[in-house]
Order: sequence, then C-alpha cells, then structure tokens
Amino acid sequence: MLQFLKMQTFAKRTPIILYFFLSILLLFLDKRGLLDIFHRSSQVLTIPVNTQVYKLKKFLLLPVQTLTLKIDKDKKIQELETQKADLLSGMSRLQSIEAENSKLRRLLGANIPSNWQFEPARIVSYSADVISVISASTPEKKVVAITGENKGIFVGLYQEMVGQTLKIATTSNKETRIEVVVKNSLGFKTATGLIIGEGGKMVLDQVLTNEQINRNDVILTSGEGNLPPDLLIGTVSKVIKLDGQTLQKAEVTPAVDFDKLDYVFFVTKF
Amino acid sequence: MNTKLFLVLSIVVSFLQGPLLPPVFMEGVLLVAYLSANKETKSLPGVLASGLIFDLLQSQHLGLSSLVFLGATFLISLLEEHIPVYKALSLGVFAILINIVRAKIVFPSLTLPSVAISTVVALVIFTALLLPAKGWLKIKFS
Repeated sequence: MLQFLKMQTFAKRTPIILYFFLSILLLFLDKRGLLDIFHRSSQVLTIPVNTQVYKLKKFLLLPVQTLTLKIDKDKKIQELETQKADLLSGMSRLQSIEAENSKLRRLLGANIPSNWQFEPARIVSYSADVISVISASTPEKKVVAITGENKGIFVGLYQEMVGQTLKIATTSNKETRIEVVVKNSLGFKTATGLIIGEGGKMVLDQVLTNEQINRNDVILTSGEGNLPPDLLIGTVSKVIKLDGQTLQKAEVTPAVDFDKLDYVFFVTKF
Repeated sequence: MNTKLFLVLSIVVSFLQGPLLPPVFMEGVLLVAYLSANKETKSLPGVLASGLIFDLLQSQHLGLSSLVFLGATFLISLLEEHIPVYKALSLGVFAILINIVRAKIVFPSLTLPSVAISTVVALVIFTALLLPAKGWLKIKFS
C-alpha cells in the first residue's frame, strides 16, 4: 500500500522532473555556447529595443538629475536639447557608429600612453552594476574597459559574451577586486589597497592604518593583476578607521557616472 | 490569468526590466498570479516558456530563470497540501522569495533589500491593475 502511494506520488511529480531536466539541459548547452544562435536571433530585436528604452530612461531621469545638480540654466537647456537630438537621431546614429567611434578614440588619446590600443564598444544598457555593450570584436576575459577625455577612467572588467552582447562588471559590481594606489592632491602616492565592489557602491579596503588616506584623495589602478596602471577609479569620500584594527577602509565615489556613458573602450594592448 | 496573457506579460516585462525598470521586478508577482490560476501540470509549459523568455530577452544563459520558476512551482505545489498558499499574504511572500532567488542566481550584484522593496512595489502595482473585483482590468484568475 505504502509502495503504491509512493509510486503514485512519483508519477504525479514526473512532469515537473522532466521540465527540470529540460531546463538543466538547456542551461548546459547554452553555457557551452551551443545555443548562441537563439541569443543572436533574439538580439536582432532586443538590442535596438533596449537601446531605445535605455535612452528613454535617461531622458526621463534627466529632470531629476538636473534638479539635484546645480547646473546653470543655459547648460540645462543645452543638455535637454542634446538629449532630444539624441532621441530623434537614434536611427541615423546607429548607422554612423563607426565614424563616432573614431572621433571618440581620438578624444580618448589625450594623456594616455601612445602605445595603448583600444577597441570601441557602444553601450546598450546599464543595470545591476553590469554594462551591456556591443563591439565589433570580442576581447579576452578580464580586459579593462575605460572612458575619459583628459585622463583614462577605469569603467570595469569584461566578464562574458551572451549572444552578441558583451558584459562589463563595473567597479561597484560584487565580483570586482582591483589592486589600487591612493594619491594625494599633490600627486604623491600615500597608500595601497584594494577596491572592492559591494553592489551599488565600492569601498577601498586593505589599507594599513599607518598609511595616509584623506577625503578627495584619488584612487588609481596600481598596474598589478595584469591591469593597465594609472587609470582613475574614483575619489575617497569618507575614511573609516576602526579602533584597534591594523587595516582601514574608505568609501569611494566613482570617477564616472555609468548612466551617462554612451561608449567605452576595451584596452586591448598596453 | 491564462497562459497567453502570462507569456505576453513576460515579454513586455522582460523588455522593460533592465533598461528602464530594475532587472528583477515583476517576474515573482506574475508567476504567483499565474500559478494561483492554473493547476501545476497545466502550468508547467507556460512556466518554462516564461523563464526562457526572461533569459533570452535579458541576455542571460537559457534555462537559469526556468529553473528558478520551476523550483517555485514545485515548492508551491508541495506546500499547497499543508498551508493555504493562495492567500494574498502567502502569494506576496512567494513573489518576494522568487525575485530574491532569481536575483541571487542571475544578477548576483543586486542587493537583497532592494530586490524585496522593488517586488513589494511591483506587487502593489500589479494588485491595483489586475486583481479581480478590485482591479481595473478584471482578469479571471481561474
């Protein structure tokens, strides 16, 4: 009787077990890249839609951002006009990506060693500390993505490719661990440490208490861990010292607002 | 809520989640509403398809969300024999749990309180829009 009941329960659960196996099989095949064709096909539709929706979000957030920032009226009008022009020229901008990329690459050249090589990538969306981009080529894993005009600014590390979308973990991503140096306002190195992403924010950790860190000190990549050196990550916003501890921490403000980026550049050679 | 409506809502929501809304927002609420209106065996294809839609449109590995959704379906079917799972409070708790588990697996960088808060917001919106008798659309649940 008990065996009959057990068999009946198993028979009742058989469909869901089959569906579980189907999901695991799909996951297994996709992890091995065998279902890439589905991602590529769907992204023909999702990338343009996501780009437009992301631009719409930026457009909707613009009034909130302008309220919080003390920008003079002329600048506000100029920014709104730029946003409006961006929305209207969405389609034509897609066609002129190549031309824009080369312009941005020239802008990026300033104060960055001339032997560095870049690969431009256009941002599709940014959420949950991950930037989705599309690029003409696929970089190697952990390649650095940067932006900037006068100074190279560290954006994040390339994680993986899904379909034709490349994912970049930003500095506040929980998987981010970067060895850094801290420099004071005079440009002297005052400390070394580790930038750790905490989901939505980042902290400077592993700094010895006998090393000096102050508010507004700049944080740069140290060049360790196969990363390019001297890329700006952010500035110290608050130093956290705990009594009796050999290490101190600091909260860090990122050097770049990821929501405002349109392009990033993978550093393919440095 | 029938399967067609569930899948259409899954498509719409997954397009908006990420670029406009938080990447984990409505799926828990949608799933519990769908499961409350359909028997487990009948709902399985819809649940699997919805998970695949979310993964495909949010550029995640196919099968991840389906596993979470099927796990939730299995859990609810186990619990329904012992506790009244289809009460509003239980459904709300399930929706939050589904979102937290999916966030933990698919978007590890999201913080759990933010996922829980966004689910509650989604729950309020969804209740106002869809609940029978109270809602504006008056969709039949069973």
